[in-house]
Amino acid sequence: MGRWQPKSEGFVLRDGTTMSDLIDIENREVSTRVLSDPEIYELELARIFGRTWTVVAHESEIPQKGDFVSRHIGEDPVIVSRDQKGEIRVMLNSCSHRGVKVCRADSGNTRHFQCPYHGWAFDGGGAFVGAPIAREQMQGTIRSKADLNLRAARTATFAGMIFATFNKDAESFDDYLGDFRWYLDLMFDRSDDGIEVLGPPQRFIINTNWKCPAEQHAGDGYHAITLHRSILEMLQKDTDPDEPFMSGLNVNWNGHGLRCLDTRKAVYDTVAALGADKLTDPLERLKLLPLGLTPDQVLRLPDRFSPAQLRILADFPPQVGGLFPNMGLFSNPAPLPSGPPMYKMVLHAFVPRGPNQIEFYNWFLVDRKCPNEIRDRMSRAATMSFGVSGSIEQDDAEMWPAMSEGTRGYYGRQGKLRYQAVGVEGKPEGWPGGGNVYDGFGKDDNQWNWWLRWAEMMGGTQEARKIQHLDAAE
Amino acid sequence: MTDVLDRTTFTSKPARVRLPAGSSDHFRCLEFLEDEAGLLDDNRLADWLDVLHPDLTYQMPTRYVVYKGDGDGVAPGMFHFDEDRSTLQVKLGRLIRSDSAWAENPASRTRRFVTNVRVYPGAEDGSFDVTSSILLVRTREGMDFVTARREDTLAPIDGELKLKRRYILCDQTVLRTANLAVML
Repeated sequence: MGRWQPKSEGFVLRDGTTMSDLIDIENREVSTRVLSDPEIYELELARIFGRTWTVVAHESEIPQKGDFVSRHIGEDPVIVSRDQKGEIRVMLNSCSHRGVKVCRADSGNTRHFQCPYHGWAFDGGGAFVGAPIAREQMQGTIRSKADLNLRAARTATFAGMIFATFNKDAESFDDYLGDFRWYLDLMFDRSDDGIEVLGPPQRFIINTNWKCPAEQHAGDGYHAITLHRSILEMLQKDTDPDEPFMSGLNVNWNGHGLRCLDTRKAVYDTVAALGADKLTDPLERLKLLPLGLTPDQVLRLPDRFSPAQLRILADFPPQVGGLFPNMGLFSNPAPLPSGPPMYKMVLHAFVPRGPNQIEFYNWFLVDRKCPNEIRDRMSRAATMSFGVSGSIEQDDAEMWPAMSEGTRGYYGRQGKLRYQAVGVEGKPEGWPGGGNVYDGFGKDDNQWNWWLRWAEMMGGTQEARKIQHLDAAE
Repeated sequence: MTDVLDRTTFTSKPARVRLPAGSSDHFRCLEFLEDEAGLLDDNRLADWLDVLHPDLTYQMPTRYVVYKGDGDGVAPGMFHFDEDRSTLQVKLGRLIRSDSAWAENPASRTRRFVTNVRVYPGAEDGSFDVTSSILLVRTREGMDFVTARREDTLAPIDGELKLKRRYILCDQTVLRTANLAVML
């Protein structure tokens, strides 16, 4: 034995290590061991990917009845389908007979999923339909038909993004997003017309632990100054630490984190060029800022958002962030070498494939009403900076394997990740949004809160639980 | 006895007449592909930019796996690369000029194996449509592979062929390389 004990409050690894040994609350340090340990990884599959919501697809990938895509929740293959009633269903892609994947294509349209091994068939919602040679009752009579359905996940959507979990006892999706929803609406839910994917996601393998990109996306703006120096050079910006990406506000909630960036700062030369810097009325500013919306949609923003939200969207929009456990989010202007600045909406998922590997999913999103010519330019602008070939994310993909490798060896895994740049929590005067807010130069607080949530979900220390709840209460 | 093979399934596109292998046009296009692959292998990115046509379209669509009869697993709209001359100028300009473009500093060693070159007359006067297979091997600590069919259009400017269109149909649905800081 010596395996971790799922029913206990915390856990004890084979060598006697407990969560408290791995997360040092007082000194804000995380043991590097958590980035590669196979025992911890197995625990994560059960306690994090087995217990909370993760994104699997966008509604626009399965617009018609019978459409499906194949994805993963943790390491579990799932089918995301639109059944014959038009409902979105997510189910384990594993036959109730011998466990074979009943669907081996990435996408398509079907009324039934029939297992290629013995022919057991399931409808678009995963309900068992029958087994070949009906008169012989090859499914037997010991189990009811309902027992033979593909395992169903709970589903929920936000801005068309489909989230799912197999955990019947998981918190509601509304509670999962909590105070974060207010900010996410500003990023992705800005018109009645909705958003859609440009097409099937980019997918690529990175040899890293899933937590390396995940904790970065929770709020690490600091890395931009060094890792993305080349981008600043291209923008002909010096790297004065007060500028350009660090001014703003970090928000975290329930392990989610994002950064609101000040559009009035100099980095937005394009904004100044458009004359928006001189305007104070939020809607007048929004009419000039790149938003990825049609002029009509911009005029309808006040129907959708409160004056306080409009002010934030104009001056301090949430632009980059992540959802716990393994998602990255971007909604912000995207330059092109010529012509007006475009806008990009980006969704990442860091799907675990063992302790030292992820499959990176990258979706680009666009407003459904976006004219084709603009859509082409937005695709070009997004691809220029983001995803597998993007000038910015090329370098991120270089760092995460380096982080994994640096912490994997005998001595490397005895080290610490340090989150000791401590900010002061507090909302600026009149800040209308919720969550835990840190104003000013972005410090380590968002990422540290990401780890506290990780520790809590892993059955972590009492302290992690207490701190999370204290933060939540404020 | 009937033929058990339905041969129509082997010809997805109407046959196009290729220019004969060994013809001067074929050799001219072959030389172009060999030379530009050499520039990329040698990391001479600025020189490679010079072989691009000002009206270049350079795209590599995302792929997905489908059952037989469900098409070829490529959808319009989403790309690994979606470039024109100006975006490539920026992307490669970063790699050329900055010491902080970490994805290629240290630079990977790359080798492009270009084969199965077929040349067809192009739509424009003096232009050629060229299809080729490429195996890109990218080496630093690990060894990454990308394989693809490329559909190119080469068009002359002042008598010199330039790359006007490249459509890269990669075979991998899930790319086995952490980034595409290298060109195909």
